[in-house]
Amino acid sequence: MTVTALDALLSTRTDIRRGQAPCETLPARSSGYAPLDAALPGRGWPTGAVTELLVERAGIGELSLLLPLLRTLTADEALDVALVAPPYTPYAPALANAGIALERLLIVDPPSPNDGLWATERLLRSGRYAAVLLWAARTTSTRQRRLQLAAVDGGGIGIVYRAIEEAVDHSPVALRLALRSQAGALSVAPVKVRGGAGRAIALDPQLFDAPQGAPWPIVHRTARVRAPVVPLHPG
Amino acid sequence: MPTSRRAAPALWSALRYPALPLERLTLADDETRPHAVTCQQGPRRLVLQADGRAIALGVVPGLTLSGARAIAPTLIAVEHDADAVTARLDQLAIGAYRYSSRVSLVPPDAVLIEIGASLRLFGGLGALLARVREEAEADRSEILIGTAPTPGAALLLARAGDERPVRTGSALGSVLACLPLAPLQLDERIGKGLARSGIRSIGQLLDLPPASLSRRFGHALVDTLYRLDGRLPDPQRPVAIPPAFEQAVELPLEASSTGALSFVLRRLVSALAGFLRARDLGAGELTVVLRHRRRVPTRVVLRFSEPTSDREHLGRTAEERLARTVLAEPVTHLALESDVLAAVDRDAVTLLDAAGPRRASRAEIVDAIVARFGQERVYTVRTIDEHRPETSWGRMSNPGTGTTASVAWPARPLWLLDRPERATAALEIASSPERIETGWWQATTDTRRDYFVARDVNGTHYWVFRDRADATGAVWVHGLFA
Repeated sequence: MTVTALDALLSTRTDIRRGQAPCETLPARSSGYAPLDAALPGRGWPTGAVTELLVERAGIGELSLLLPLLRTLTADEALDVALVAPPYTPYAPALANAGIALERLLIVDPPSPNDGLWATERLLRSGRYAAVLLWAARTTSTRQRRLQLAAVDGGGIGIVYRAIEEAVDHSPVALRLALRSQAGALSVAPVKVRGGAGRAIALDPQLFDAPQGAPWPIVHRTARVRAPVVPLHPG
Repeated sequence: MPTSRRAAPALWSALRYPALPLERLTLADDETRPHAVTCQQGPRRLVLQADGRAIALGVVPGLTLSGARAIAPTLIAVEHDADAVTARLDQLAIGAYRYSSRVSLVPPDAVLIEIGASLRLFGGLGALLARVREEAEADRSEILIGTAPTPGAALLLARAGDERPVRTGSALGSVLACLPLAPLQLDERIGKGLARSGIRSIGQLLDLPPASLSRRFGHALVDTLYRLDGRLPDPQRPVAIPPAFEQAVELPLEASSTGALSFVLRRLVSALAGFLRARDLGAGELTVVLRHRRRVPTRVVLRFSEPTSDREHLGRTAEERLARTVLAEPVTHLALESDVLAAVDRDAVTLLDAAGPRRASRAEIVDAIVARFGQERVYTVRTIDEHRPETSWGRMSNPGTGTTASVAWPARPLWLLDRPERATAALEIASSPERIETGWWQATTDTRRDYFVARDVNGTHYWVFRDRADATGAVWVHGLFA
C-alpha cells in the first residue's frame, strides 16, 4: 500500500485523530495575500466555517484584509456578500477602488446586537451569501456556535469581528486570529486553529493599502498636527 | 419542460376539513383554557365541536352548553357562524390552486382537486400529498385527504376517513365495496329503504341489478353509483378566481397579541399563493389590515424586492413584519390585500417548487431581514461622480440593482464618518494634500477643503481635512482607513 493510499484511507476514518493533520484538508478560499495564505490552515479563509478576527482597534487594516476575497467573490464570480453591523459607513468610492461589485454587497444595519447575530445566522445558513462579515458588539459562545453551524449548513465564509479583549473567551468557531498594529505593519496571530497550528505573520501595509487608492506610505511630507487629546469615538 | 404526449390519467383528491367551525378560534400558543363552538337548536345551545382540552374534560359534541359549563367551568364557548365557515372554505378552495389548476368546491367542508396533471411537477403522489398535509398543518387546519380516479370516490374516501390513495380504476372497485353507505350522504328516504333491505355497504349496493335499484329508488341513486366508479362522467364546476385578492377574516375571539394572529395570516397567505398561482402573477406589495373595535385600522404594508407567488416567502415576510407590529388595541378583523401584481416567470417558480429541499432565494432572505429591521436598514451602496466626499456615494434600497460607476478615486477610506469629527489626538500627516472644492455658486454646499491621510501613534490611519476658510487650522477626521 502506498503512502497516498494509506492517507486516503485514513482520511475517510473520522474516528481516527491524527496528530499532524494536514492543514490543506480544510476547504478554504485564498485570502489574496500570499504570506497570509501560507500561514492559514487550508491556505486561505475557511469556507463553511466561521473565522473570528479579534481586532485591537478599528483602522489597522482589518477590512483591507478581506478586500481581495470580496473582490473575487463579487466581481469575478458574481456571488453575493454581506456586511452586517459595520461600525461606520462603508464608503462606496473606496470599495469601488478595491474592485468590489457594489451591487452584490449587501449592507445590514441591525437595530440591536442580537438582531445582527440573527441576520448573520440567516444569511450564512441561506447558502446564497458566499461571505458574511459581522461586527459583533456582543456575542456569546452559544451564539458563535449557532453562527458556526449556520456556516456549515450554508457553506459560506463567516467572518466575525470582535474586540481583542474577547480572545480569552471560549469560542467554538473554526479559526480565531488576533489582529494588531505592530511597528507600522498588521500582525496576524492565531488564537485558535482547528485541525492544526497556524503561525503569526506580519503583513506590510503596502500590501493592503493599495486597494484604498493610497500610495502608501507617503513620507515626503511629514508634519505634526497639534490638537487637544480626547478619545475618538465612532460617529 | 418537456410535455408528455398523452394527458396524465385523471386522479382526484378530496381535501376535507372536518374542524372548520372550531378552527376559526384564534388561540395564542400559550392559551390553556378549553374551547368549544356551539350551535343554537330550538331553545338549547348544543356543543357542535370542542377542542382537545375540552374533550379531555368530557365536553363532547351534542352536550348542552349549560351541561358543558358544569363540567368545565373555564370553557370558552363561541356560537357557530355558518357564513364565516363558508368564507373560510372559499379561501381554502382558492388556496388549492397551489396544487392544481382544476379546483371545485363541495360544501360544507371539502375541496376537490384534480392532481393527475400535477404529479410530475410535485415529484409524485407521495410528495404532493405530503406537501398538502404539511401546509395544512402549518395553517393549523385539520385535513383528511381521499384520493381516487373519480371525484365522487375521492370525496367518499375523505368522508369515510380512509386516506389510503387509490390510483387505478381496477383497484377502486374493491375499495368501494368495503365502504359503508353513510358517506354517500343519500337522501333519508332511500337510506332507510336500503337499511330495511339489509344493505349496509356500497359493495352490496353495487351487486344489485341496476334496473331493480332504479325502479325502487329512482335513477338518481344508480347515477350516483355510476359516477363513483367512472361509468358516468362527473363534471365538476371550477371555482371562479376573483379578479383581485382581498380577503378578510373576522376573529370570533379578539386577538391582543400578534402571536395569535400569525396563523390567521398564514391561512390568508396560503389563499393568496393559490390566487397568484392560478393567475400566474406575483405580488410586489402586500397590505395587512388589522381592524380594531374603536381605533382606526392598523395598515402594515410589505414590499417585495421581486414579485413572488411563493407561499413560504410571502408568509415568512408577513409574519416577521407582523411580529414587529405593536398592537394599539386588540384586533377584531384581519384582512390581506394585494394590489401590486406582476407577471412572474412561471418556469422559475416551477423550478423552485420542484427542486428537492427548498432553498430560499436572495430576494426572500433580503425581504425577511427588511421585514424585521425596516427598509432603511438594509441596502447596497453606489458611487456617485461628485467631488464632495459626503455626496459621492448613495444608498440603494433594492439590492441587486444598479451598477458601479467605473471611476477611479484617489485615496479614499473604507470607513466614512457620518459627520466629520474634530481631531482629538496628535496626528501625523502622511500624504500630500488633496484639494476638494465645490463651486462658489453652490452656496449651500460650499466646500473648500484640503484632505490628508494621517496616522496616530497607534498606527491607525485617518482621512482628515482642514477647512481652508477656517483660520484656526482645525483638523477634522472624516474617515478611517481600515
